[in-house]
Amino acid sequence: MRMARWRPYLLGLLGLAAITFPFLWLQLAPDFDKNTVGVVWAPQHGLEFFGDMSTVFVIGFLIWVGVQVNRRFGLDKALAANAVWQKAGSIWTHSWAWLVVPLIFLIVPLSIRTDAMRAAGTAPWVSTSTLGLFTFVGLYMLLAVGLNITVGMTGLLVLGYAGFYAFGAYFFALSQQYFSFFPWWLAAPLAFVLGGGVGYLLGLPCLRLRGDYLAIVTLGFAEAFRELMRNLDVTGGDKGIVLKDSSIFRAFAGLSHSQVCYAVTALVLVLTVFLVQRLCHSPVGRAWIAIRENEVAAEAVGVPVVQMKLLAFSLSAAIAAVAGVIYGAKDGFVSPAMCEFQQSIMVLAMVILGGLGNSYGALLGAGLLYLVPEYLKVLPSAIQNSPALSAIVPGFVRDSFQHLSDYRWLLFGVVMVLMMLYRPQGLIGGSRRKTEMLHT
Amino acid sequence: MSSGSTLMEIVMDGISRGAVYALVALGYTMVYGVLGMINFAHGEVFMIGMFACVYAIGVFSVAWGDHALLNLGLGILVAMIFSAAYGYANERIAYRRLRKAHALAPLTSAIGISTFLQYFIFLTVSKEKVPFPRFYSDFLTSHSLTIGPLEITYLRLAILGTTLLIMAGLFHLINRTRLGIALRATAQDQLMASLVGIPVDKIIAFTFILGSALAAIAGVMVAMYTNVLVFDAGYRVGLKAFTAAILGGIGNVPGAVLGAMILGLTEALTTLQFGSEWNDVTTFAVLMLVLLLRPRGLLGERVADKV
Amino acid sequence: MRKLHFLLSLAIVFTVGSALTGCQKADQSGPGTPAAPPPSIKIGLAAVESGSDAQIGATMLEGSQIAVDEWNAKGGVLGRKIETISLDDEGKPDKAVNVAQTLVDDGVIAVLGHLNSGCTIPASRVYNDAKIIQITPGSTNPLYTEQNYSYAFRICGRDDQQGAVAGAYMYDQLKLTKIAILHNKTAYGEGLATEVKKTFEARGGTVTMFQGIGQDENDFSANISVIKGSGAEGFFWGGMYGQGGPLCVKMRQSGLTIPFVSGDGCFDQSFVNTVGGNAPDIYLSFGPDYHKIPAAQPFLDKYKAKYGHDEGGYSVYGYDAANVLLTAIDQAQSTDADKVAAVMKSRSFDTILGKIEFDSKGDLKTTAFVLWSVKDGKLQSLPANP
Repeated sequence: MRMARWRPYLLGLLGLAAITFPFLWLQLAPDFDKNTVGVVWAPQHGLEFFGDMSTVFVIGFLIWVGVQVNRRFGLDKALAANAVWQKAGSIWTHSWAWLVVPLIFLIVPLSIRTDAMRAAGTAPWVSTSTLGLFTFVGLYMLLAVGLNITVGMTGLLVLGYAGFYAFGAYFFALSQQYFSFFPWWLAAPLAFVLGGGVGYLLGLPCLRLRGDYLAIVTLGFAEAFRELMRNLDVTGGDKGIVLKDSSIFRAFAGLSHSQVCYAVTALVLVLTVFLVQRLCHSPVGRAWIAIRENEVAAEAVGVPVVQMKLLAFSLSAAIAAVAGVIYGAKDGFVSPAMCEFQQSIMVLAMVILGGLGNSYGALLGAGLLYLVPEYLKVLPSAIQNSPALSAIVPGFVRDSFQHLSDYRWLLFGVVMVLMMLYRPQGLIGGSRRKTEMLHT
Repeated sequence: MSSGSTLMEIVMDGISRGAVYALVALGYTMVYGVLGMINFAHGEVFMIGMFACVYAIGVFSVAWGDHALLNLGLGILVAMIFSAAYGYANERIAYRRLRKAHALAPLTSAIGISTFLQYFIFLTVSKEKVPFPRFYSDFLTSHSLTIGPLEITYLRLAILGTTLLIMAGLFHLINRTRLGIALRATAQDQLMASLVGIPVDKIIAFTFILGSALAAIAGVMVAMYTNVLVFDAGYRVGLKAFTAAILGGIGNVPGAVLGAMILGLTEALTTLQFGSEWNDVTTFAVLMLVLLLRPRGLLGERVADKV
Repeated sequence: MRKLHFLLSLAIVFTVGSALTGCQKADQSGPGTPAAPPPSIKIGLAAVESGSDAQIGATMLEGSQIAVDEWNAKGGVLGRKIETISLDDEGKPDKAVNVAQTLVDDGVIAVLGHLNSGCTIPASRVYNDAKIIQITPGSTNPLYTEQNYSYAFRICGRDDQQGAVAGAYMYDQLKLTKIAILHNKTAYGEGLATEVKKTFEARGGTVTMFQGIGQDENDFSANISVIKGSGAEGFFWGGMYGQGGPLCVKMRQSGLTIPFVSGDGCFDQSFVNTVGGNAPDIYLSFGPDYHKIPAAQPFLDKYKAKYGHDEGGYSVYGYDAANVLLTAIDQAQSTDADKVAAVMKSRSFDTILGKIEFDSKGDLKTTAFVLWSVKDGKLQSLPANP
């Protein structure tokens, strides 16, 4: 009978309801005079929770429906078999046409003269704040690509990635503040080398052993680095370092300040992706993949496992340091809060969402994870401004958007678990990658 | 007060800290020994035990009034049940499917569950620190045993005593019972163990449940000790406990306890010598030192090599 | 094939995104909508709304909101309605900078905030560069007004004043000769603690311990052992109520009955709840007691009616900050930061906390810090020192 198939799920749901019962439906009522505590029945808490999550449930349901439809009708296979799509794909992979897209991302935002357009009375397509947003996305993309090398390609978990990011930023800030003769454009390459060096030193003791240790060691490093920066006066303590110039980048050649920041970030990003891709499609990259698949077999086949791991990790650290330098140069402000665990987890989630081992996946993951919460913040007022949308979207869904940013981390967690369970190859991995991940 | 007695007090502080870390580290080390994965959500199970205990005390208070020992004792039991349930749920939902997967998958899943649980409590219970009802810990904290110049509160004695008891019990379980044999067999080679008739799934579930129950006890004790409950308590303790487990040798039960003691003492001594602002730095330094000199941990690893 | 998938999705994401965010800007910066009402004046409210300091930040913002509502009921200012944009900086310096930039991009003409000095100081640079007036109702770190920013103001005292008052009190009134100090390593906590140390030592006392402890650290036992061993006769905590409360409780549990002194960061009802309604030997430095000021009563009533809960210490400052700002804008008849700043520095304002005047740095010319203690489940001010 079909009921029997659903029984374990029902039991599970019941169990979950039971163990979340007190937290959702009861509330603590401390009595401060007697120093005791009581509980009150507070269903509005739980109802609010489910109400706010209703949007998520709706979206999740839609995704599930989409997946089922796709499975039933074989839509993506039909797309892959389509001649036009295949031609586009082959142009893409076999010619230089692919350069067009990065160029679009590079040139379009820079060519819009926002001030001129404003003077002409038309709304700018890419406003200053949007550019700022995209610059941040670019930085996170850079971080994701860097982390992808160690976590995605070589299969080593890194938990304290933000530590290297902060290292680069502090290096830049300190060099600017105390060695003012130090030319700022030398900071990035030097940070690359130093960041790589730190990564190498950290990796040496742990990469000889189980890869799992790397996770804890990097986490410990991030925490220790944060504490060190906080304790020492020379690094500004908790306030961080506020540089004299609010930004190294100045308006230049007719481009506004934010456009210059965007340009620099985009250029560095494109360069990095290019280099990393070249590396990944070389014997080095293949060695990394071999290590990820089966370390012992790789060693048996002659891959210098420890050196390759160290290379991957050092490179990741180096890229993070460069990203840190860009951040410091852009904002003129660094603080110990940069190396918090939450930052590291966010970058990790970006890599996982996009697809482990795929640089483009990392870029997509970074774009989505950073921009979607921002859009959600903007969405309520955008819906209000547009009568058409207001009609379609019901009130309580709109309200839940307001609160959704509170639930951001909750959803991160859920997304990570779901991704690992159902789509470990990430958003753009193929089914072969899924098999690799799930069945070593 | 002489500096000698301060030193002794600091050592006592370190040992109590170490005892708490030990209880949590045991959970990490057992799961790693059996499954080969770091259970990042273990810290959250610790934190949920704390909150479950306080909720239980609240319910009992409302039901039949405030009886310190009764409510607290029952509260601890409820906390253990809740933590065990959460531990089991974690295993079932997030890890079971990924047992044969690449090591990254269950690790990432664990981080996801950890984040989810933390923010679940953040959103549903409180964003701020919740005070522990002192009525229930007063009888332990206000009386103390005096040995020479040293005054040890009953709470501290309880923490130390419980940890020792649990260690002994665990040792007995793992080394002297059939269940222990089954645990060790599953840790060595899951396939062979299942072929020999050991119900591997059940054994693994039991490992999680046991570890989580221990974490719940640690949670309640920490709540009584620090008088606060907060949603990210699990993260910090978990990180330190796992570091302790690595220090002592992952998979190794006595190693976890040793590592935890060393970590607790390091922190306490740093406070004495350099100031508590350097705690994380010295902890990290100790970790790196041990990894450099004795990479397999102080007492050696006990995990089967996965080939 | 996969690259194509990827780039399509990325392109969609970026286009939708810029459309959404770009749309926003278009609606607001459009110059020609003839018969629409004059655009509202936007004021940013920034403070910590989540995490362990949430109580203080929230009450501060609520106080400002009450003032804004009052002005809006009278028709707004300069004939335009006042709109508030309230953002959470989570008490973290880098989030504060993001919040600052967002507010600037949103077109606010002034900001009331932030609360934590560690957030106010980095954010102030952003506001200053964008020529936006900033009034902080609660940041006490002296550095904020020492940066020579012409648009930065504060409506509370400074840590050097507060620390001096606390340090002097401990030496003169409590007659302590040796104290131990613990701080939470933030700009505020460490700054305040350092001031107390300076004042106390200048008077001839000794500070037997000066340590910092992380903000999410809850285990104070080792620190307390060190305090005991150092022979301190008194204790000062430079930090917030989230740690101050449990710290005090732990100290008492460990048998340390020495006086516990702290600053405005512990000034919150939850601190009282944690330490107990009649906890002895606790002294907090804070501004003057507004309960004793009749002019405060209407505000307190309104606050209770609108929000229900206790008003906390900072709502009054938030209220005063908003009133001062709107009064200055009204007098300057403009939202231009230079003009408003000039007005603010040129006259005195009547606020709930008394007549105030700003000096050239943006600080209050005179401030009074008073010591409070815990009695009958509330914070009560101690009588003024002779």
